[in-house]
Amino acid sequence: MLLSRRIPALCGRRAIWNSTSKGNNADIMSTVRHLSRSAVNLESKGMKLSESELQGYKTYYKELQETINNVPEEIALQSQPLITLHNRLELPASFKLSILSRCLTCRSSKLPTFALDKDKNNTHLQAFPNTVESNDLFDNHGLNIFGKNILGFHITKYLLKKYPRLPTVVLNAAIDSYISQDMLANIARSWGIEKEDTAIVERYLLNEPISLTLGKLRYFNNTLGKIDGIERLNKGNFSENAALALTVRSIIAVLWTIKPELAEKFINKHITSRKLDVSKLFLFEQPARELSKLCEREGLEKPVSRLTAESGRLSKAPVFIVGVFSGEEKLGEGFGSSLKEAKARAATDALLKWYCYEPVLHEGQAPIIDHGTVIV
Amino acid sequence: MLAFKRGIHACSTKGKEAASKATSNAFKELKGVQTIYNPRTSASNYKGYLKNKTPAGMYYNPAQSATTGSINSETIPLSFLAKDDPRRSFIKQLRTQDAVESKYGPPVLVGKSTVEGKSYHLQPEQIAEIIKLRSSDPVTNTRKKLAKQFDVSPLFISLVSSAPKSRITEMNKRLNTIKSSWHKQREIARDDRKKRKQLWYRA
Amino acid sequence: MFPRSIIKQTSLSFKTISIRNITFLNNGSRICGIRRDPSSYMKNPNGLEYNSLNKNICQDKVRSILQFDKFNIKLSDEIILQCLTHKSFAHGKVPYNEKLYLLGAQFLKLRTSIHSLKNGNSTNLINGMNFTNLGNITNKSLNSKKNITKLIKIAGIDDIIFWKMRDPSGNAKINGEDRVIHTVLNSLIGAILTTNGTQIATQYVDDFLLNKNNELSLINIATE
Repeated sequence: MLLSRRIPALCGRRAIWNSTSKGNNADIMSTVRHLSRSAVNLESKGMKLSESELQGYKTYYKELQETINNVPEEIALQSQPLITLHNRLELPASFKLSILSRCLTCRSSKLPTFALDKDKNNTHLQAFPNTVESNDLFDNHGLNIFGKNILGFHITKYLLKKYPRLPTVVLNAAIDSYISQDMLANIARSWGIEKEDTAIVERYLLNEPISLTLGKLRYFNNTLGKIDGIERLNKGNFSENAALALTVRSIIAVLWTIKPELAEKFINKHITSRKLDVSKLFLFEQPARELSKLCEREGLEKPVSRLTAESGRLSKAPVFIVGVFSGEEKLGEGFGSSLKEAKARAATDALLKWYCYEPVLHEGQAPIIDHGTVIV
Repeated sequence: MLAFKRGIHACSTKGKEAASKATSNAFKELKGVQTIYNPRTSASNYKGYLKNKTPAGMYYNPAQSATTGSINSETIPLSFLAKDDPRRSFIKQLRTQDAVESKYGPPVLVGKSTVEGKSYHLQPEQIAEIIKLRSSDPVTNTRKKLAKQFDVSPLFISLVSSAPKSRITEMNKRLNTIKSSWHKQREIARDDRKKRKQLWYRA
Repeated sequence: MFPRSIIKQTSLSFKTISIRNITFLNNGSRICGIRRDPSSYMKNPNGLEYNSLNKNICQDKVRSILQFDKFNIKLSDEIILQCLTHKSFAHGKVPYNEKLYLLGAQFLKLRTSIHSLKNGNSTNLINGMNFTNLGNITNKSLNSKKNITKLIKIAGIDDIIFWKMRDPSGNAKINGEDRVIHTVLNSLIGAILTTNGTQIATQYVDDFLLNKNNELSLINIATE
């Protein structure tokens, strides 16, 4: 193969991705079977790569790398996917497209420089032919950290304001359901963020303008295609969901740097506007016991369950309706096909009404600081 | 749609009288969609709904579903609201039937301590004796017997002491022999019952 | 161990029953099944009683050391006491600081990262903020458990915290002292955020806790 003769170092080695959680200082030995395979495909189509062609490819590669390292605004302005994304999210004009492109560059989208360096001693090889090595500084790593902090704080504040008495376990579950990695990835997908799927060689041969890749998500994606029957090893931090989540967080972080209120508005628009039924997150054990502890703590009378209605007691499908009363006041109500079930449901209902209480803060009610989950 | 208002337990006639006497709340109530025709026989006649003119104003349109599992503000009990909640006065007016239900409804599955009040009359020496008795001879000193002896509940005996390991393994063995003699259907039915029970606590 | 007579009225059934109950309360070591005397567990490891608390040694001390008046922060006595109470105290019978701690921790984390954004030296800036050093060790240590615990100890507030030691004879590590003590500062921040609003809370955190000119700030304590 012509290509393999020119760049012998690229081919014929096994790929082992050894990564730390931050993806820095990766020790990689890799192969570019893909590159050689691309060459095979091209040869079969009757195209042959000559010396000048290779030189052209090298120039393209270098240009790509330099652009991604420090995106100039003019090139970013030519990028159709970037502009579309910018408009779709209704980002302010002060949110530069070059920075948006930076949000789409993940730290794991590192690439070999050895191909361009004359340094023969450099044996660090990576086989991610889709992306170009980005400078340590010009990616979304820092933005992601900051975005995570912003999101965590805002969602916690929002939930605690809405449901001040929520138990900690349920609160954590609710926060997770708003801003977990997979949830943010879904949001990013709904924004139409695509990942960069084509190899650099193919892009070069298609004469693809570099600005096009700026608008796509760039991360470590092993392009061993599905047709080869080879599986992607994308664990944890290097999966598509993780990369998409990084993008969402980075965009929020950049919005914050422009103006903190913009970030808050953006979060409200895209994340807190989603519906979450907190009552579905609960699972009680021994609710009657917890309820009696709660009444003791709050100074209410001891709760007693009473039968308020029933039907078909000796039949196959009886219905009992039981209410939990503290003195003369009904705290909760439950139905069931046995007295036991109805009583259990009534106790859980009462606890649910305690924990999921929503104050009306806009009508002058003072903010509620609850006394904590009931510890049995 | 006919409006349904659940009455008090049928057996308690005293309760029924009291319930009917209970004052209705101060709001005008709107039950279901109003028609000018007979709501039972002409429920599907759209003209009735079209021609209906309810006077403008604030109505109370209660949900026809039970309050179980709902966390809407109209279902939250008064004691659970904050002291300065502006909804308190409205909620007070909605809860008129509670007092009657609490007075006439028979208590469900109440324990002896709920009826008679809890008493913590055991001293450390007696507790030590319970532990000694149970561990020395669990066969004769069962929970029930010890409970009667010390005037506590069998649950308390379990809390305070535990049977010796030999006893536990022996009882588990017996249970397993019984379980092994079950028909497959019985096993599945019991398992289903367990899963169904889990759902009670999810609201 | 002494008996206490309690007269109770129960009206569960249709007749009222008057019952006289005798309750034995335990003062010493734990015996499973015996009710504990409240006076034995309602005090913190330093012997401070929860119910008969002197405002001057507790809430006012917190207010003066952490300079609440300077920043126009108004926290009621109950809320400050709640912030000083950990979940382990009195088996959750009294209000504790878990939720406030969660909110305050998130807020402090955000403010410390903003602090590191504004104080960095790098040429690669986004809209004037430096993102390169966000995740590094020095910035993360600012709001670490160790650092905050150190601040609380230097401030002298750690002896009025209400918590329960796992093993009173054991050392700090076994008792998880760090974990308990650092919740206090975070929960105070959370309380300020909830009751006094975001602006005052931001001002307090930026000008008191993240101000290197201030003696009792996280920055100074981290560098000590």
